[in-house]
Amino acid sequence: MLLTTCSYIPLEIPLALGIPARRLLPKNAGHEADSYLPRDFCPYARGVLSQVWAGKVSHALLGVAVAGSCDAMRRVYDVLRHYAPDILSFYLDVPRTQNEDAVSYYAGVLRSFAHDLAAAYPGAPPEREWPERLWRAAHELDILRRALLTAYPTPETVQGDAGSGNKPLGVCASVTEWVELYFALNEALALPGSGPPDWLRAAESVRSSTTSPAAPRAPVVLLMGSFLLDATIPAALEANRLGIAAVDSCLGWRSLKVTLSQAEGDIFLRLAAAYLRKPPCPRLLVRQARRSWLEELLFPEGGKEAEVDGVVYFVPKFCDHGYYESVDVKDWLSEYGLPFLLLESEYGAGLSAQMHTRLAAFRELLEERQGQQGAARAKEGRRT
Amino acid sequence: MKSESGNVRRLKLARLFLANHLTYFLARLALGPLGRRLRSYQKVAVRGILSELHAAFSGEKPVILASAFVPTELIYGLGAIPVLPEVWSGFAAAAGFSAPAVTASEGSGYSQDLCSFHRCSLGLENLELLPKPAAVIVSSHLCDGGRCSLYRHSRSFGCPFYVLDVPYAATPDGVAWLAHQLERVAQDLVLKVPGLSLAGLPKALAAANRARSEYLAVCRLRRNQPAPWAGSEALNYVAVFLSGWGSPWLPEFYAQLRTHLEETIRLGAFPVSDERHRLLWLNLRPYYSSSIFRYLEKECNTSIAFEEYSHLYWPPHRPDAWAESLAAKLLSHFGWGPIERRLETIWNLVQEYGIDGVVQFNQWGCRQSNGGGRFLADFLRERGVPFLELAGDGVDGRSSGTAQQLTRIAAFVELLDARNTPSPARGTKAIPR
Repeated sequence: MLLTTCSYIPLEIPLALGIPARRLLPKNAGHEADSYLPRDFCPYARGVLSQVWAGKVSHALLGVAVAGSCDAMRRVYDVLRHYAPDILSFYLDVPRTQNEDAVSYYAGVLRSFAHDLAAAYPGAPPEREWPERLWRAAHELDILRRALLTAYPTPETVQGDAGSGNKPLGVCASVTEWVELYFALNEALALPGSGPPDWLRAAESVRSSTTSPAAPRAPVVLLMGSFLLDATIPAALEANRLGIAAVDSCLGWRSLKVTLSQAEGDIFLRLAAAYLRKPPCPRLLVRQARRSWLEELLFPEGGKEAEVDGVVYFVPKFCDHGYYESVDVKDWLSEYGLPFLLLESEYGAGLSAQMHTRLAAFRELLEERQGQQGAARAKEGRRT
Repeated sequence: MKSESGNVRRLKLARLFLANHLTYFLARLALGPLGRRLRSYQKVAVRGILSELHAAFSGEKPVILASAFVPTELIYGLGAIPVLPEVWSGFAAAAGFSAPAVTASEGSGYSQDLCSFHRCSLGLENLELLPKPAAVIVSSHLCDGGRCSLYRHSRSFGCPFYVLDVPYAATPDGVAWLAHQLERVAQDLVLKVPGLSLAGLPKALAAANRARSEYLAVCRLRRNQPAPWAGSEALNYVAVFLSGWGSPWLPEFYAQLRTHLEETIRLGAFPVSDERHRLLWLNLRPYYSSSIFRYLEKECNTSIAFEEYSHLYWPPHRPDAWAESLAAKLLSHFGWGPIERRLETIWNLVQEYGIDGVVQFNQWGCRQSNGGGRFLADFLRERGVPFLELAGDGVDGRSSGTAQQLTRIAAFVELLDARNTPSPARGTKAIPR
């Protein structure tokens, strides 16, 4: 089993080599990492170590592929190598830029990663079979990504159309349910010897029935940030009658928009381009591309009016990338006159009363603005 | 506590002084009579920094903001003045401007959980105490906060932002990629910023090599027991070590420092004459007035014999191959790559400088350095070298916790006292005189 720590690491590679693999998405930060990492490290970094150490996964042929996402994750990689030598650890040097040179460099990194995996896990297929297998794995993962994207609840499904339609995964009743489905599908990926139909079935079977549909005609927000730790934040938003138009997070849309070029050529180069050029995360130093992606989410039809009433930005505590980007996003949004709410916390953040109080206040602000805008439009209509 | 109106007045004065030609003229004049109180190397540094400040604020030369580990040889070589905002945060702390600067950045939305060196630099920009840059260059390695805060500077000033994407390992592919990036950045800067040229790069690298030779001699002298240079002062000159490479005045600075240390050893005029313990200091220091160094040096007779950030880690440059040389410098940093590189470097420093104990200043929010704490503790314990993690804030005196720091230092010195046997590092290497 191989666990990966970053959405820039292509799961196609281990899957093509016959190694069950999934993204490591801890459910909490745990306490097992406390004596290895400083207290001002983010909950995800701590959660990764805790999850691996808490015995929640078997160490037999367990591998963890760590990307150089940030200073904290570099140290997580060091801790794994030093203090958990029975775990196979791999480091992926993900560039912070997206140009041709960076793609070419990353292709080399991915090729080396494949060779390292093949050397570490018995039974890897011969190298001549890799392109074909990688292509197949990419196709299978593409099915899952598309299925997840089409399962995202639209305003129509929120008004009672949930679960209907000829789609590989039933459309979710709420974004909370969609995030839980995301987790379930990720878990299903690691089922050995299965493919997309089994994965989708496994994910559907654990679909939560505890979440209630979001209220129609509620103020709608874009939920964004560096990493949405768990489903409690969307649950808190929806409990406070805030609709979520899109989720821009590592655990969200931008990880699902991976497009592998159909052109002939080196498969590693194509994988590198597909991953490095997916909608960027705050960790990449390509802020203009980040802003373009944000605008795509705010103005999906390219119109002048934003399709959302505001933005909620979630930062895991001590995430430098999120902290810095949140200020940029706040400034960008001020150009469009859109309200912004910064939430900063740990796992389970959405369960706190304080969070609910802040969200309720934000909803009231959005409703008041909606009322003012409606009145202004009505006045304008009367004039014309 | 300084009053709000007092702060405003001082900030206005600082802006006025920095932007006024007369300031630099008078300061140069004053260096004559006042210079008698300064040591020769200090005069060289003050002259060098003054002339650069003048050139930067008068617009005589373009300014390029850079993150702490970008090789400044590139910037000097192109004909610009490098300004490292993190270093300026240290200056601001020493001058008493850091508190209003940190407050200003927090007012803009920057979290208190971010490193205060970066928050302070953003605040300095808000307070109009940074020169206007023509461009910003960051390296992607070592410090997440540095590159993010510098991106913000580039946005505020509306100038180009360049990223040197540093590979994790110095593989041939990685070195070639980084060298290529350096060339492209330099070429693009020459096109976009009037007054810059590639012609000066070999000269800047040659100057850095000369400074390097002098600096290595300084390092050899610092192995002397007792230590010939107070670590508290050496930590101030980390600013020069980070930002002076490639400047025309750095070789002279280190040459004068070398002479001063030789003289100190010859006369036996050591800063801590009755030296009981020798420390290696990791990461930076508090740059505002702090009693911890006086306590260490005067009350505990303990020297800071050397500092991690004074360690020269790169090979000599090849001026005819500037891009490859600067790529090698970037990739040689001991804090980049696997943690073993940093551990090995620290162990070498412990041995070379006859170190009895190691102190890591845990700057709040500095994830790249603090993340090594557990490794260092285990690594040094195995080798019988005591290790102290000293939590604090290098810029924001309001978060210093000085009393707590003094208590921890006192306990650490007691521990060193209680060890009847000298550190395994003592006397392991001959000390060149």
